[in-house]
Amino acid sequence: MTFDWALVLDNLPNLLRATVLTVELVVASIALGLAMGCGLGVVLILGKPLPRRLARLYSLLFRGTPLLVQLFLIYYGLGQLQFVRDSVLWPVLRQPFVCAVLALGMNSAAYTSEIVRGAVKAIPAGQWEAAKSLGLNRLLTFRKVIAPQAMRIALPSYGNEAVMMVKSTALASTISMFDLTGAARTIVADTYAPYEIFLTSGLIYLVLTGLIQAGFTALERRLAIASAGKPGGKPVKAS
Amino acid sequence: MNNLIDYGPQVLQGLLTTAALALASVPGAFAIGLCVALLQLSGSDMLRRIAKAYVGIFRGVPELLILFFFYYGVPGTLSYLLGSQVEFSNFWIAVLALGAIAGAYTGEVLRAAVQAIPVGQWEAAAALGLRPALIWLKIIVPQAIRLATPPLGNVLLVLIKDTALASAIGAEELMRKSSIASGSTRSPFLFFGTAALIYLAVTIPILLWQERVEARQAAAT
Repeated sequence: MTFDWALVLDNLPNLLRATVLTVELVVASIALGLAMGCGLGVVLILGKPLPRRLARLYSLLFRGTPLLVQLFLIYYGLGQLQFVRDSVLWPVLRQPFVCAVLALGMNSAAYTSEIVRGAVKAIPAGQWEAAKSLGLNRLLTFRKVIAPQAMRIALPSYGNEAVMMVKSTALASTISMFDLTGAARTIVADTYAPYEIFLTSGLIYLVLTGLIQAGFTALERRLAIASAGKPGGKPVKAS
Repeated sequence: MNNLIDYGPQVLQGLLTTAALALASVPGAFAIGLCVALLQLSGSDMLRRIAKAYVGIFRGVPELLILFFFYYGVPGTLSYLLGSQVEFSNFWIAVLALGAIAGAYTGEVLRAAVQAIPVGQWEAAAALGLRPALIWLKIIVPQAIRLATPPLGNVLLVLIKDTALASAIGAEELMRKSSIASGSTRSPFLFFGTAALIYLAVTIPILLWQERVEARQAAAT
């Protein structure tokens, strides 16, 4: 049992090429998840009872089922429905990439909406009341007063969500995509060198997740308001 | 609908395997989590670093890749170490991998729970002359358990959902049975939809319990 470095070097270009697809999946899914998640989050906070209940149901359904089920329902399941097959969107919905981004993005939207809701709830009621007394309506208060503060509170949690997203893209390999995990599996099946290939792939994932974490920490630091103390640190004590 | 009745027993069997996977992974996850937390809280820099590396790896690499790594790597490694051929069923490989992953998250939860207890508690207990073992047993653990329960519920929730990944290494659980039934009946929407409802039946109570705890905590502060 020896570790074959030559094998790692031979396959590294293939793994890195597959990493490009992984990154593409991450970027597209984050875009979809963030847009949908913020929308749903706003509905959870400001929405009328019925939309709010629907947003809550959405969040429960997506957080309560494995991502793999969601992915299979979209990729394999939609084709069973005749009206989907007849629709103009069918040629698009058949593509694995589109299905993976839909599943990843819609799944992430559920978690993002909860992060948004939690961050907004963490802001003292006095902020709403003060804005109201200044004559701002609820929407304007949200945009100008609440959202900028909530964003800073939500940032660390959303950083975790982005890391989860990187890991979740591995599921795309189950619908025959050649992302990093998919490529690793294929190479292992060919070479039967699980240690070399999987460890290398794992390392690439660690670099990706590490980069995202570092990016979010840097962003937190940049956006931190001086008087609010250090991000993640304790508030400055008055002596 | 007839398909569902025909494949009902298979799906139910898959559900039982899914439940067994989750339950069998819990003890290992808790044991690993306990070790990780203790190492991280220990005074030794090296032990702390080892625990941190473990957590970083198992939380930073996709669960699916870890499952594949265990699937291809564990039997070979153990055979090599023990000098004789060791065979593992897909089920137990999945249990090992899921336990190792959930263990990393459990470790973080336990560590955070212990660290969330104010230093004054330690100091007060020491001032009263309690021995370290007694401080842990009587002061720290009871409070840490209360703090750790909601996030541990979340670890369990993630574990239950992650059992679906075991289908990728051929464990005969709910997703695998649903895939087989979908393939032979050509009704994937029906079977994966059913699987989704079954998962929801287990996860929704946990999610609602979490919301209640969260609301209670918000009311308390």
